[in-house]
Amino acid sequence: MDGTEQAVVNHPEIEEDSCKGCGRCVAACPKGCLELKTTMNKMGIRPVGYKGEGCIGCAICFYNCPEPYAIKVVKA
Amino acid sequence: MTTKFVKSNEAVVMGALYAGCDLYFGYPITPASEIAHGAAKWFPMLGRTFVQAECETASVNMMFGAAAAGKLCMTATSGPGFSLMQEGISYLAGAELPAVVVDVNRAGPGLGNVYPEQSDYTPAVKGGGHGNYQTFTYAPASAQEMCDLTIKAFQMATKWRTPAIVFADGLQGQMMETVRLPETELARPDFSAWAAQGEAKTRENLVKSIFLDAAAQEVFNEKLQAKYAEMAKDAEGETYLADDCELLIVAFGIASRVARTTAEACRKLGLKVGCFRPISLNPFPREQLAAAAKGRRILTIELDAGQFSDDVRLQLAKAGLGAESADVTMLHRMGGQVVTVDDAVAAVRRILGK
Amino acid sequence: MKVIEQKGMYQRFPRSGKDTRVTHYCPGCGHGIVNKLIAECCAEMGLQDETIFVDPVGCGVFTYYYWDAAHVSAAHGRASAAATGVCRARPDAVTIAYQGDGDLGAIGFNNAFQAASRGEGFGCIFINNSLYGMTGGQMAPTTLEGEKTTTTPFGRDPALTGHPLHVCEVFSQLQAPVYIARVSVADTKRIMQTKAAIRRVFEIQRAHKGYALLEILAPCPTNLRMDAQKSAAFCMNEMEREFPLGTFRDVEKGVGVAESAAAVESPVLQVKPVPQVATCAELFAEKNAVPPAEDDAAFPERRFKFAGYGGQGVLSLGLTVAEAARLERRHTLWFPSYGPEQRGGSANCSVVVSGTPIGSPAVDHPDVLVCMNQPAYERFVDDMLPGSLIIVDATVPITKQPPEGVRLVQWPALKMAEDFGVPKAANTMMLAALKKFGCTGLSGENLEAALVASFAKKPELGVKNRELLRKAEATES
Repeated sequence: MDGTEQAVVNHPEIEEDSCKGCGRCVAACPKGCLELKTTMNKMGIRPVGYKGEGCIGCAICFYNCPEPYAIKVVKA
Repeated sequence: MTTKFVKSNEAVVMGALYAGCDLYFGYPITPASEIAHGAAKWFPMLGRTFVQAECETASVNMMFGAAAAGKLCMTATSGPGFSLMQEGISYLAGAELPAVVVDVNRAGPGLGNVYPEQSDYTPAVKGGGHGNYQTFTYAPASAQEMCDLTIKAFQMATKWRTPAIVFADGLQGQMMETVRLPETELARPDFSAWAAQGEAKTRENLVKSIFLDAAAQEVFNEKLQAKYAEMAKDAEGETYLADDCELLIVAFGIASRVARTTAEACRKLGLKVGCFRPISLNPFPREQLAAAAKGRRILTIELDAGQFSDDVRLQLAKAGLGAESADVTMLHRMGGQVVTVDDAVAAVRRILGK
Repeated sequence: MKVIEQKGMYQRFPRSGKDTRVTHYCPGCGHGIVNKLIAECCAEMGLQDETIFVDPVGCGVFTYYYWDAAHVSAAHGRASAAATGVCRARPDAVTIAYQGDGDLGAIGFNNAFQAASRGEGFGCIFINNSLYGMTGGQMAPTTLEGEKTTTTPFGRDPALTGHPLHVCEVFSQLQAPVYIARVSVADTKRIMQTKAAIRRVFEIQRAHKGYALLEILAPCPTNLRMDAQKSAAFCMNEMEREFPLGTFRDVEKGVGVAESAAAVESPVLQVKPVPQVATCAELFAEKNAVPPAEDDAAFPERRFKFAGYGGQGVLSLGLTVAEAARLERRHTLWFPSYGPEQRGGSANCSVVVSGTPIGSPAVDHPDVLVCMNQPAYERFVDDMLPGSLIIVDATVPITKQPPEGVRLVQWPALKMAEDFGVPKAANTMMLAALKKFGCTGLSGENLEAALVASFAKKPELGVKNRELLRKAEATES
């Protein structure tokens, strides 16, 4: 990797207003790096949030999620 | 020119093939079965599709799929099967899909028998399923018309994006007459603007009858009603010996032929009798009827319990002929019996007091 | 870098009437997971242009909001029937029906089953969540024994409502399907198996290999009254015990294919190739075309009734007269007794021959009545009017006299046919009478030509019958 490029790290991208807070991704994540937040989204639901570390980019959260756009995964 | 001596039911299939119908879906039922027999043989010979469905509900929903996929298709049935199809016909109307349903009316209600009646009048003419919809409904009266009006039914179904009904009866379905076949086959219409054809250009197309939002559903209903109002310009009817008549017999389909013979018999007796025949029952040729009926005594001949004469009264009243509407006499038979010319002549004499 | 994100769905869902990119599914719904997989497979395989989705009624009704491909929204239960129509109309497309367990398992079961039995060219994706979702959590055919639903408030009692319907197992009894499998979206492993199975369904449809059924066990947290995790566990533990996962059949991969006995050649049961023609004109070409009827008001209309026992050839006798009239360019109409009437043994037909277009087809008062047995005579004799003619077989006892002024001819048609050694030709003997007495208004030449034409498939019989006709005409008075 070129030192000038910013290093891409594995992480989920969460669209909070598309999340219904069912928690399937939280339960499925093999690294336990997702959690339901304490704050509410637009719908008044506590959406999922990324703990900030631990993601391995496996996309298990994406496939367990019933919503198409609530979560996507960037894999380095 | 090709002429053939064929059963009227077979003439329907011939008409459909000339009209460019690509798929036939059907379930056998007397007295409509010869339509399925002809289709089973001739559709595949022309490389087209015949499917024997598991029931009439399946037939009409197969039609829904085929029409949604942008092809002309049809089915044929009789009363009990026609009842089963009503939900599907409503869906066809609701999704504005062209398709042709042939109803060879048998006697009912229930299992009834296989002899001719016109008792499916209301579902065939007034939209027999749920919701505010209409069909384009033709009433053939000969083998020739079983062919020709089937073709027209496809044309009207295409033009108005609506299910069309060819409304015949058991007697007509079974009889053989000479039919002149068309000179040419109709070209296939292009439905790619709305159909789901499995091609890039139709990927955005959605065929549906659902409008979850009440306001949108109302707008759609208004659009349908406007279409039906415009459809009236394609109404068709014909008169026979009516110019100077004192009494006008109004009848459709097979009953119109009894009417015709009755009028001829009456003329021989010096009675001025003419006929009016709606060729399309929906749209109803109201103005033509009114023109022929104005100032005349009116007799309807029908093979139902009076559904047709009620409609004639309604049409006359809507045309502003209140007096004529109030003076409609009905002569009818039910159960598979056909009105005889003797009875019809006697009825005319009674009305005219001669 | 790689981004794993949704493919094959619209970016926003304006068809829902809202500016949104959130689905209508409840939190934790199995439909949502399956919807994503279907869209992804369709897009990954590059099939969005070719695919026609047939949508159900039920919770899956709004898939057209989401999947970026053509859609047909079917009636409740009828997605498999509609998909039959779609795939028959567009055999080159990829047709996918999406159905729930009310839609497929109850109201539309026979449509789905028969489509599978015919081996229709579509893939059916069947969501089994053990209940009716959209209508409010009622019992489905797939509801588990003891499962509480809004219509089994005390738990499904098999003594009253039967046992859960095993769709895959039932469909596996059919020969035509090429693929039948049951998967689940209860956990990650199962979801990935489901994706592979959906892909397989698309592959089979892309290659037009035949009918495929994929049953997917899916959790319905709302109607199970559970959270997403518990409903997924219910799906895995309770549902899978009743509905085991697995591939029941994959013909190409040799899975679940029964050893079929060597085909036995039958001289009786054969599928013959369909002869092909290019145009309607070719299909309906007439070898012996006759120009249409000519109007001739001077020709008096004649109405005939031919009656007897089925097998005596009364229908074909009527047809022969009608054909002779056609050859003579008269307006002609033939009408048979039909339905149960013909099955009881008696048969009759009416023929009208006219110089002008024919009105009523009903022959209430025949000008000529031909009776070949006693019941026929007794049934119609009273309809006759003065000046008309009855030709009755000589074996028929005249139990009642015809009305005043009706001419009665007793003609030994059956006996002559027997005497000539061709008992089946009794109707030809009757035709001889019609010809001899000149009561048809048609030329003898045309009557004979029509008789010969009626044996078009066996011309030698036509010639033979013409000989018999002439003989009968000559010998009897």
